[in-house]
Amino acid sequence: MKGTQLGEFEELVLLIVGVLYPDAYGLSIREEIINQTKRKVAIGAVHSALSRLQEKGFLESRLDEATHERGGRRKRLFTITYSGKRALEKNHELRNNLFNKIPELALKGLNLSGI
Amino acid sequence: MENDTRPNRPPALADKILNWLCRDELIEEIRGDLHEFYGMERAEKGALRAKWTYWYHMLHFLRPFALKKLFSSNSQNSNNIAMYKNYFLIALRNFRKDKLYSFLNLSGLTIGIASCLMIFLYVRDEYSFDKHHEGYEQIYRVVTDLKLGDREFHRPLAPVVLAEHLTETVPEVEEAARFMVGQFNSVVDLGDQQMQIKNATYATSEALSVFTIPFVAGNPDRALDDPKTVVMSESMATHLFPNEDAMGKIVTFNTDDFIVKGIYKDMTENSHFKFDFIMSYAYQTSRFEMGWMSLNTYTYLKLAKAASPAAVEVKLNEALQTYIAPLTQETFNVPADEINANGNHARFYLQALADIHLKSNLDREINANGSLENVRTISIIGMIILFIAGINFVNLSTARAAIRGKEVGVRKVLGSKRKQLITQFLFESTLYSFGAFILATGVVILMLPYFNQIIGRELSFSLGGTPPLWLLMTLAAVVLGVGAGCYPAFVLSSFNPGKTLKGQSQFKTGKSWLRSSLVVLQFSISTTLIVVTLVVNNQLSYVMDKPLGFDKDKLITLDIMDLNRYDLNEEVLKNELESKPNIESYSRSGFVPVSGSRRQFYLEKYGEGATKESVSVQSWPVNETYIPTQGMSLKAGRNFSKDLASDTAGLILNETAARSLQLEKPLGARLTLKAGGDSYNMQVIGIVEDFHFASMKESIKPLIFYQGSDPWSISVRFSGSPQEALSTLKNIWENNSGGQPFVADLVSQQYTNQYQKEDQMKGLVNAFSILAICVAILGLVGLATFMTEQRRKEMGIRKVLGAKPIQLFAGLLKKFTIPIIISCLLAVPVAYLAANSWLSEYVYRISLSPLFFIGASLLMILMAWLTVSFQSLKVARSNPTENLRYE
Repeated sequence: MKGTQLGEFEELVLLIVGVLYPDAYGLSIREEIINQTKRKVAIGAVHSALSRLQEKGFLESRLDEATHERGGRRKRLFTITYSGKRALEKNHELRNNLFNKIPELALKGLNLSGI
Repeated sequence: MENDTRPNRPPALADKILNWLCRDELIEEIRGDLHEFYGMERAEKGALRAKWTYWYHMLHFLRPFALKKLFSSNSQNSNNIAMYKNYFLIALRNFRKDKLYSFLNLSGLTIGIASCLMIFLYVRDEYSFDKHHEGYEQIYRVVTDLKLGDREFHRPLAPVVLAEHLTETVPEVEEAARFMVGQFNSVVDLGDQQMQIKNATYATSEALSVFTIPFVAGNPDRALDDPKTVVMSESMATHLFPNEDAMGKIVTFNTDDFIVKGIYKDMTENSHFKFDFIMSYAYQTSRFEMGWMSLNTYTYLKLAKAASPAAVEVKLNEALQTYIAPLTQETFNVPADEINANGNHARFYLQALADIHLKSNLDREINANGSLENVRTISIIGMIILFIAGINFVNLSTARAAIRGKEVGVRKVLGSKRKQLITQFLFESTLYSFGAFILATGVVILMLPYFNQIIGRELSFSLGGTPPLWLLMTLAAVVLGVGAGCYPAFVLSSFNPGKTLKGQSQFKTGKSWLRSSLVVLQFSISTTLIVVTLVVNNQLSYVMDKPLGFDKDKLITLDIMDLNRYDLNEEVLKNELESKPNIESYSRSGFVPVSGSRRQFYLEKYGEGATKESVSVQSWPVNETYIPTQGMSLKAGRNFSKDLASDTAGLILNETAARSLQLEKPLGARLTLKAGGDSYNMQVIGIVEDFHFASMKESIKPLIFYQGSDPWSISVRFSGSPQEALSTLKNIWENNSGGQPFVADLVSQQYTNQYQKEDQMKGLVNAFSILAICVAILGLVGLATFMTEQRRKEMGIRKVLGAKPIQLFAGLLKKFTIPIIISCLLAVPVAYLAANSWLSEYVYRISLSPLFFIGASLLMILMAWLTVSFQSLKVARSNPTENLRYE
């Protein structure tokens, strides 16, 4: 597999899959992204990210029962795999580490009063 | 999973597109999400909004991850090459297995493609005219279109001074070239020797720079500024000065000495003009007073790159208002303020250089131009042939479906998907079409000389050109292969493997109607072509054989090039001619019927009495032997007589002239003939029967004969063989003409030449119609073979039950006859319209008798019967045991 790096949007999707467990599927993920970040996202973009994440081995999926509101179609439910969890942790760690290394002075200069 | 039909369902088209483009394994979840989303949006924001967002999101799914992969139905399997190898092998095996079928299919396609290729070469050549001139898109020719009073002037000629005026006053005009064609064919003197020159013109130096005329010697720059200068083509230079350098030599024309300033490469045939001898335009303008009313100059404008021709036309017409309008009263008897009123019009317009050859067909073109109509007709016929060949392919392939059915069944059982089967059959048909293209190329190379003979051209086959021919051919091969293979591929791949493997036929009875209707279509096209071919041939032989009012056979015309030299010896020449036994009579005239119409004069004639009747007539100066020599007959009155001095004021009218002047008593009527600025009082002494002096596409125009000077033509009626007469004439001519070249023609030959374009058309229509019919027949042979083959068992059973061979034969024949009869009936109206529109160009034409249609239909039925009976007889006569055993 060529790249197991997490892109920014991919990370967001991965996180939300975790948040929504066990009910994460394309539409609910999109909904949640919009709610959390107020970004405009096409359903296709979410599907595209999901398929990439699955290809990288961060997600696994199964087909659920068909429901009426989906015109009798089944939905694909996503869950985070172990390596997905690892990737999230690694990212999280990296960020925390880096964030902690920022000298106070630099942030003060930005006049961020809350920190 | 099927479409739900609830009223609040999402847009069906969007779903379809999605289904079509998205990967099969993803479609379920994607559609599911989209539908659920749609439901939510609908509940919140209403149906319209929901539909829009549905489309929006659907389109957002068209990204690489969701799209189907091209050329592979299954993303795991990327090894397609092995499959294509197999397709290729199977195609070859099938090709060898059924040789008749393969031959019919391939030969039909090959004929179709070869015809199209040749036609393409011809059409491309026609469209290439004048495009070798650098910046040809910027070059335009000025046309003058006047209708003032009863005079019409619509010619590609402009006033002599227009070019100068435009280059001085209109900034868009970069350069203006001028040609003036005097005597196109003439003579020049080289010392004491007289030589014939052809394709002569006068031109300004600008003509050598506006047009791309590469020089091999001398400098084109300002080469023709001096009045007595000339440039000539290489072949003219070798004609006049064999084995010598022509540069700087003196050529005497019209008793003036011209110096050779340059020699250029022979002009290409692909141009609307071809000059071999170009003298200085200044020579003409220095000898004659010429102004705005001298409408005798071919004027070509080279416009600036961004200039619009329409804007230049406006300025041209401003010039017309300023300079020409004041002169119309004097020349045309129309006051200046009425030139665009009372049915009059006067304007200049521009023709793009590249359009001249095909689209301009005016009076006084420099050379006869091409015919857009011929180009179109022949293109249509080419496509028809290809279409018929395509139908053959479809018919034969689907007819053989039963045989291929088993293969399809096995392939399906082994896991082939429908799409793979479609690919296979399309691949196969594309192979056929490529094969046919390669064969067709060979055929074209072999047949091109014959084709060139028909069209009178020198086309050559090369794969280059812009766009390159090989590229076009490859594209066409793919398009043809896919186009013709489409339907068979879909039919064959749709078979149910269970049924085909059990040996059940896949065709419901309804299926064969498609094949029948394709056959009907094919044969109605063929029948139409036969009718049109018959009509074209009949009309042209009608034109050739129609009594013309004069006798065109056994008549020779001879052009006098130099009147001074001729006059010296006229008496001797005449006496010698009359002493020869094979020369019957001799006359001299300005024009002869066939070549005369080229040089039309418009003269006015006023009748006496209360009303002034004015008719423009052609006026031909003749001598007293003209009418008998031409074999014309006098309707009333008498011929000119040499002994009556008063006959110099005598006129002979043709019937049309007498009629259009509305003379009560034509004989003896006194009329005024206005020629140029002068009037002559004339008296009618005879009426000559109407004769055709122009093409049959025009009605006979008013014409008068008078006894005149300066006749440039000699007509000689002879007996015996034309060759003998020509050589007698040549001998006498060479002894007495003072060294003038001998330029003689048989009138019958000239008459035939007049219909050169039509004759070409006839040749093309004949050749390609026969090809089209051949292709259709090939298809019928294949179909007949197949269908009788299929009914072998039925025939066997019938025979066992007591049917006679003749009954079986009749039954089989009937099956083919009905579609052919239907196609004949369908063809009649189409053929009628096509033939009628072609004929309508002729004023004198044959009537469209029902015989054409009946004849064509009978011919078609007969040909179909011949084709079918061979197969039918074979089956009808065969031993039933063999048929029934056959499995």
